[in-house]
Amino acid sequence: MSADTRTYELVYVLPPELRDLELENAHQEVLQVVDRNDGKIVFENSWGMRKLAYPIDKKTEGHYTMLHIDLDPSKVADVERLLNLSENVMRYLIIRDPVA
Amino acid sequence: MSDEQETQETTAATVADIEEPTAAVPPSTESDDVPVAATVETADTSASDAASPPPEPEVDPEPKVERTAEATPEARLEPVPVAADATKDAEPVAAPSGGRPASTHPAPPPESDPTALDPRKRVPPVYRANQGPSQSRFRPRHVATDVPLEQIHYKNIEILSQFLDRQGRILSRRKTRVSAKKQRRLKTAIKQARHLALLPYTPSHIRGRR
Repeated sequence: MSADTRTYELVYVLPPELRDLELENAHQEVLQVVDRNDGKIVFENSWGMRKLAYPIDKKTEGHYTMLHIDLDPSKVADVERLLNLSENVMRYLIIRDPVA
Repeated sequence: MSDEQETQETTAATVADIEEPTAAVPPSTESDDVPVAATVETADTSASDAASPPPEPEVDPEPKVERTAEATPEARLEPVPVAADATKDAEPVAAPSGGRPASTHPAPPPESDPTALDPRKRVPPVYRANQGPSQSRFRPRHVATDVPLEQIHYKNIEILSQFLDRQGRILSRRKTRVSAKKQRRLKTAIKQARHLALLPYTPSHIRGRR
């Protein structure tokens, strides 16, 4: 974490119907979004398939993945924009200063 | 002096019949000085005391009539403010604020007085009366008040779910008894978890009904 970056925590949810290769491509799509904004992935943790607390797009489950990223704060908006454009990402959350 | 003798004679003579000599005698003798009504009153008030000379009863009965006339309205006027003062004094707080004719309305002065003089004496019992049931109702149901601040984040669903009611609503701080700082963190954490579908916005049995 250099002077002009902060550590962010990114959690995104991928659709449950994605299988091996599709799922991997979806992950790579998110990683490319981060990499395109000069983000550095510090930590990665897959929560696996989880049941959603409420249905999203008629889907009751999702693949949860958490990343810790060193990112320039000015790039966060662009990361969010690209994640919004993504077809696969059902939900995401970027917060600052991850605790754990 | 002839007047005195005549009056004495009349009084003595009128033991049986008072009205006739008194009405008859004075206008003949005292028609110049004394009005008729005064002489009649002197004769009526004191048959035995009327031995006093006529100029004195001339002076006396008129002011007596005036005094009685004055005394009765005073007597009529005075007991009302006295009663008002008595009611004001009888009320627990002395009434400097009572510019009102407060005697007819006993209720407003006790309301206005404690707030003006000492609000602390009257307000607490009302406050206690309101707070008595509320304490029992809003006693903290969640012992998770001692949750360390570091553990309050959107991933810790087990803790966050303790601060939701059955409808999935965030419990108020009055119920959780959590510090303001923690409640703020809980709020944001719960809302973040809801966004990620880790926590529900609303329970499923309600959501399913259309």
